[in-house]
Amino acid sequence: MKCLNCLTELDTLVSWQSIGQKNSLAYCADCQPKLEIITGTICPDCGRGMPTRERCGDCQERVTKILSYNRSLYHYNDACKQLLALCKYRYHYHALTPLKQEIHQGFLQQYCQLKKVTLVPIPLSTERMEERLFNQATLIASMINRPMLPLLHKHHTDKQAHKSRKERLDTVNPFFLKEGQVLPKGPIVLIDDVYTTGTTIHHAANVLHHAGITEIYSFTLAR
Amino acid sequence: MLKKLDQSIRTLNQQIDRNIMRGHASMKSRSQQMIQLFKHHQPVLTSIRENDRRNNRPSHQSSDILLNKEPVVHEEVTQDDTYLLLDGLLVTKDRLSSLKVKGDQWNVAVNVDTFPAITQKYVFKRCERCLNEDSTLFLFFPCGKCHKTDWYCLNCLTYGRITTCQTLYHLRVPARKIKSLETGFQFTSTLTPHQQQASDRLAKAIKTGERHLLIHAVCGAGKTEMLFHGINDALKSGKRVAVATPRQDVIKELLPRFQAVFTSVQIVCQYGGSDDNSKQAWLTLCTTHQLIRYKAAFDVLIIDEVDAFPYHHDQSLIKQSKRALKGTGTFIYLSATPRQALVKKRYPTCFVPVRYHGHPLPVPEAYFTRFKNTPLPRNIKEAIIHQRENNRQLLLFVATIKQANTLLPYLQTTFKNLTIEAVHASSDERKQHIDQFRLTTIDVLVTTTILERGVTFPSVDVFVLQADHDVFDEAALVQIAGRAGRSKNDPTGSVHFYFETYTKAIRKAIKAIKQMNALGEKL
Ligand SMILES: [Zn+2]
Ligand SMILES: [Zn+2]
Ligand SMILES: [Zn+2]
Repeated sequence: MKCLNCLTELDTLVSWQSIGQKNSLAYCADCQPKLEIITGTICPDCGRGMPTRERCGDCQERVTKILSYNRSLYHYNDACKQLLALCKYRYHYHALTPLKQEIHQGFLQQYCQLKKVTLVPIPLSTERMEERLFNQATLIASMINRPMLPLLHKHHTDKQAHKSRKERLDTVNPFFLKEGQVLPKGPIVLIDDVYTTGTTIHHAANVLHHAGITEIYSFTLAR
Repeated sequence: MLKKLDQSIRTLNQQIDRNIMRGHASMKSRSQQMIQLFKHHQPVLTSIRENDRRNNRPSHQSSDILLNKEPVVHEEVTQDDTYLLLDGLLVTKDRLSSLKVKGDQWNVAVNVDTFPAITQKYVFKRCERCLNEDSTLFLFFPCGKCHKTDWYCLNCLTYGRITTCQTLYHLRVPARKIKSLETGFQFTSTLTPHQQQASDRLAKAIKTGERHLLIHAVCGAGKTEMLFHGINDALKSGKRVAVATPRQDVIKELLPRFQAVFTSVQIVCQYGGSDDNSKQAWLTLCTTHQLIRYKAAFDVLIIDEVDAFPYHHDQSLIKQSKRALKGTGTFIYLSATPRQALVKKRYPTCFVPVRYHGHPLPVPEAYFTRFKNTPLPRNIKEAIIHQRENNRQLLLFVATIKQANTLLPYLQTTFKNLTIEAVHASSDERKQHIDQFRLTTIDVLVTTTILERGVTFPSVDVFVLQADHDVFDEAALVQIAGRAGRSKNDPTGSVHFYFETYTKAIRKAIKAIKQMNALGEKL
């Protein structure tokens, strides 16, 4: 077994357990991303870590209230940025695989009260998909042991990362509902890699809301 | 017009055939006749050239010989340099389409071979870009484009992902004629007899197209100087040359030296993060990793410090460098401490057992030392105090980054009057400290093996702490010992190995140095 980042051989103990879990991928001690799980008080709307339990500035500005709330697993620190860059821009599909267990647990901790939940990953545009060949939101959703339904499609837009906050808030909704889909009855949790301004998630929630879904939450890897 | 051309070709051929019938059938006379005939049939020449372009294949026998003898038509058969240098590039689809924009003659000038990026034979996969065959370095993923389970290669992910559904493109640009390069050769310093001998041997190997040559020269023999004449000859005879080394620091040090010698050659210098990585040139300096971009591109490939990490134990790097060289090309290996695997191949070898200043290598002294209780044992402390009495600076080699970090504050408090700094692979001020050490504003430099080779300080003593550690293998120890006594003005220096167990590596390193000195004495 080799480290997913630097490819040095990992000295793993061969035990009965390790034989059981075949193909377990991991990072070496040096490359292990120093992620911080969000704990303590958070913004009730967007799930950002806050000194007190009140809405953050961004969320106070927001008027529409379609999304019930967002919850995220990790602080969006440098290590987390690097890890997501490895996955999204270096196209390393398995960069997040070592976190699988933690992501699943993190989801359950936030949303175990929801019954009959359906995961909806935020889609990629076809152009981006052809470049990356996988959708990181689908990848994260697939790590959570709940039914997943890709309900949405996306028009091609410029990269969000190159836009200012103002520009992002002003953009038109790039999402639209897939045709011929039977909408699930229970609550929906949108899945994405990172919640920055929340525009993406709120756009997606809007589309689902107009389609007649009442209970919409979201879960992202980082905030 | 066409009819006219056609007719003149026919008459030409008929005349030649008639001459052949008369018995002047040798190639040379035939071409000479062609020249004679072409003088009277100018339009024919252009038509032949048109044909060449269309078929993308020169009719060497006529036009090439013609060119050598007829300066009048010289400028007519030109081939764009930009295309010529694309020869041997191995690219993905994105890069190919960006290259294609370059010119309208693309389709005529460049032949493109295509093949799948990852090939599979039974269960064995192979990445055709990095030539990795290690099955643990292929990971599967559901492909969003072809909706199948694809594999991607982890080994070369840094250079952009390679997946099963991708295609690789190998560009080939057959040269119409040999292009002699104007090198602006500026190399006046005289070589020592030993250097001269090696230099001549290298030039001969390149000229006669030998496949392999190993130059086994001690640390401080002046290896780089031995290369210049051979490279100059190669460039002048239209050969494409690459100098590669596993270490980035080494290649960065080489660049200014090459630029000073080959003043009118454009040199590209490729390493991780370099701006030159998308360029091509007749003379390429690169790390061995960067050879991943090439297939059958170079006529001469010189691998400096061939024994350095990671080249010697990374099979895919070795395969990549073999691929980068043309089938008719020449491999030159340079090393002060060739590994057994290379020595066993018994390639023709050229020994240079003497340093350029003619003095023997400093022989290391090994001291038993206990490191258990303290990062700086008493005998080393005393040795440092003693060492400070002479004018040399001190390089302190340690095995790990952690050790460097614990030792540094300890040294700084013990020797308050000295400037002491530490460098290692992940230290931010690495370059700055090395420069300061070179300017002698730092007295003692604690370092990991990153300074083991390639860098030269004029006057240093070298201590190796925990010389029995795994990172100090024979080659590393010989290289480290080779840091001392590099300058003509101060050709000696002391080298101390401090160890707890007398390892095979220490014994062999000392033996190897003594052997080289004995060889040098005999000469
Ligand atoms: Zn690693
Ligand atoms: Zn908030
Ligand atoms: Zn590869």
